[in-house]
Amino acid sequence: MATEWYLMTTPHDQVSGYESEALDDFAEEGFAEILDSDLAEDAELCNYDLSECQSIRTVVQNNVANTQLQSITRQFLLPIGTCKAGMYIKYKDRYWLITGCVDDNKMYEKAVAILCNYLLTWLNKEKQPVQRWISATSASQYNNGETSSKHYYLRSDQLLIFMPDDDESLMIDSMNRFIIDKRCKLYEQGFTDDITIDTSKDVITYRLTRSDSVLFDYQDSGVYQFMATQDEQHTDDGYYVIDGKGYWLCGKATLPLPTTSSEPLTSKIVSDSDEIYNQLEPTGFLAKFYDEYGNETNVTPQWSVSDFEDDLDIEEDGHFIYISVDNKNLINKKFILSLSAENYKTVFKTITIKAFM
Amino acid sequence: MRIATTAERGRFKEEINTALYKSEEIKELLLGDTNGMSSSTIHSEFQKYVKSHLFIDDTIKETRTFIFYDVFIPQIYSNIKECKVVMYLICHLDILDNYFKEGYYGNRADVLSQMVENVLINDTTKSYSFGIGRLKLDSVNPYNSKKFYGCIMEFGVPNFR
Repeated sequence: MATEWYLMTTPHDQVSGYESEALDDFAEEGFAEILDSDLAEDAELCNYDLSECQSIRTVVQNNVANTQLQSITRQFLLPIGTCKAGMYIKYKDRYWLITGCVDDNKMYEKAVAILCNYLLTWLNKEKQPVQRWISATSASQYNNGETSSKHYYLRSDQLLIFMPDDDESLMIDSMNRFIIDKRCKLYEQGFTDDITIDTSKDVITYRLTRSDSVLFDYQDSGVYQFMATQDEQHTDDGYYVIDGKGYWLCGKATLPLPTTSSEPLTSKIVSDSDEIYNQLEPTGFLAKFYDEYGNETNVTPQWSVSDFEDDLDIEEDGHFIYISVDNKNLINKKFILSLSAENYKTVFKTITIKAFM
Repeated sequence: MRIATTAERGRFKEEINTALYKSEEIKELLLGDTNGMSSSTIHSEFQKYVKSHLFIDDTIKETRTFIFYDVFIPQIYSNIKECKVVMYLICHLDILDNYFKEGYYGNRADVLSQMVENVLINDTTKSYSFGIGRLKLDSVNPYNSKKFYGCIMEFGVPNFR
């Protein structure tokens, strides 16, 4: 056999003379050489939550499609044993979800994948945000988008969602609500860094109404499909920053439990004035505490003053501290009132002792 | 460090202003019913009608009652200085005769002068808080202008220089 024209660098020696052995010996090696050629493309194979990704070479089929529907499906040819249903292939900066049951023909395996078009976000049982790329397709293609009663109209749309069938996905509660709306990205462009909650934006929301966890279960792998039905936006659906990252989530009630993060919570000292008048009635300062969502909470305040503690008349009553002074030598002097509590960041207020003029 | 000779002017004003504010009767006469008002509102309202300078006619249009006062040091000796408090209790003529209070006599300005006397003279602790010995009332004279009527009270107290 002339080596100068034969490209295959097989480790096998074909000594038996049987043609059937040629397939056994050379099929996968031959495909490996194809992957090294210009026929193949670079891509990344990722697990369900994108936490593990690896570079691969693959032959992509159907990337020159004739219809819109065909254009959002691909077949990826890969070395046998490379992937399973429920994995993602990142190809040309898009995520493709492998939905077909992957099998091979002894030469390569084929992964049938659909284009992912939305990063779905929800909260798991531990109230932590979870995100998965999904393929959302219309399950009510010719629906007019609303149902009417005599006095009102309701949104009406159904989406068929494909996503990996990992533990987090399968445990999504029935009736769980999601924001599925491309406008979220536009809204985020207008956000400043100090925004932690924004529920003012119009968003399209859906809730899980039909769950199919076995339809596409391939035993060793699979994909999870559910039906999401459009519902009305709630007042607390919107953008929430959790642990420094922004998420579009449905409903305050679904927000995560307080984390064990050491990030201090916020508090502030509220008063009409930063001045107290010598010899006049006590000035009250109110302690306010807020949880991570900006809701006021009931926490016992711990007050302290930086100076003149012996000369100030201080009285605490609930969340208030009342301070008065009767010492003209302290007029126009300042001290710092500090407010603290466990897990809360200490806040300060500079207070000036003034003569009442 | 020796206190500046003129420091009394400011210190006396602080004492006077606070003493007047602490009188519920004077606040009621100047501001009316203050129930329901926050402390900061009462502070700012009070400051509108009690001023640490003398009355300037035609600068005030409101039909209200005012207290204007200033502190003078007319004589400064080697160790002692004479301090004088001059207080104008001014009332718009339209409301002069519509205020009555048990235990007080005369029109609104007259009542106010008695209240001020109570605060600065009859309150022994306060009257001794200004200088050497107690503050004494030296004279009370009427004040008349086109729209306002009142009285000018003059108090005196010596103090160390």
